[in-house]
Amino acid sequence: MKAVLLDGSRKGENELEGIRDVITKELEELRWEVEVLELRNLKMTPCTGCFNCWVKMPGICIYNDDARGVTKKIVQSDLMVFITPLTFGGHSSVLKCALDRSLGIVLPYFRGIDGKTHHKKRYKRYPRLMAVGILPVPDAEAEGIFHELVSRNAINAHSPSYTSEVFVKDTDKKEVERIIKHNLNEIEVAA
Amino acid sequence: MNSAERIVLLIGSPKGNGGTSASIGNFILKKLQNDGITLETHHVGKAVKKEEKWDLLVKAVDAADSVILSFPLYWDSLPSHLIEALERLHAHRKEIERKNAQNLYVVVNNGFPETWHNEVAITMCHHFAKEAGFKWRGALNIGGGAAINEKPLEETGGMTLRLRKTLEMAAAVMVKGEAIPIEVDKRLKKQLYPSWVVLLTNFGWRRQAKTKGAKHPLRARPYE
Repeated sequence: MKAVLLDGSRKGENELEGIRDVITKELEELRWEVEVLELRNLKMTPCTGCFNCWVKMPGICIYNDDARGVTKKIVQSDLMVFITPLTFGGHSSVLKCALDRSLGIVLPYFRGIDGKTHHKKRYKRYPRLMAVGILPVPDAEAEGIFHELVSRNAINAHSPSYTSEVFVKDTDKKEVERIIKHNLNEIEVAA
Repeated sequence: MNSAERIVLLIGSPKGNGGTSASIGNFILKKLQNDGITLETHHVGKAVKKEEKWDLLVKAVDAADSVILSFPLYWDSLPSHLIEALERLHAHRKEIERKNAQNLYVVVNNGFPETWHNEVAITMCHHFAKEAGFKWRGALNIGGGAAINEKPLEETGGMTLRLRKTLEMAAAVMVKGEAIPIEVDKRLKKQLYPSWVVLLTNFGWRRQAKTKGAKHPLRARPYE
């Protein structure tokens, strides 16, 4: 089982490293093959909304930079993990850039899910999603936005199961371990 | 009555003036034209790439009474370059002394028929407004972007007639620096076309693929 961990910290930020290490350790203990991508060190230009990943090179972004490899790793994984500093309740610009550039994982065609329109699946299977956000101080509103955002990401990314969690910086390591274990168990059970 | 003398439109689409966000933003700006008002437009996608353009954008925002941010929905949220711009604006506004909180209006559009998809992006912008010291004046939540399809709004025919009227209602309050009224929200919630219409658009994608010379089928699975 492969897990790809997308680290959305921006340049100069290292607050996520402790939590990233806990997630990696827990996954490895469960015998997952883990790959960590420090997105800030990759070369990725923002999505231009050209839809060429749908109509010119189906499934592949026309811009040939590191984002292609990130999308490939997402498609070939069983679990994708987002780790991000909460940015107005959402993903950091760095993580969002990778996500935007992965649009080709779905088809341009539409289908209805629970009365709303969404894009159809391109692939037969999609990875589960575990999203972890970090806040410098408690912020219930930002936390609520993040949970809602991740639930919608999971629908659009066709993830068979998902969890979202928000930690405040400097949360006790043992507590982080306990919650991450619980989330991994939840994902496994729900998938 | 609050009046807005300087209004800045920030176009948050990477397509610049050629996208639906610009179509809608430019339409609103035309309705705001008035002798006493200075209007200015900046393209966020270009500004985040060039320092001189970024400096001009920041100066314009600092000097504005109202800022209108028009952008497309990407993956349930804002496009990444726009998040980067808001991160940088937030950092800038923590460092400067501000006399008054400026009005922030948000205009978000998506390609699905439903406005539901835009909700999280709007709450994120609201959160940004609070953190960066803007006065939240509401959002224009627009679904059915396919009806506009990047054309000037005035040229999009009867399907967007109700939308154009609603944007005129919104412009009438924006010019005074007032909040978007509930009536505008209610009008925007009514879909431009029923959801089932998009299920009939498959042919259009295939035609586009042919025009672009796609070498693989639209349903290709390159990374399997």
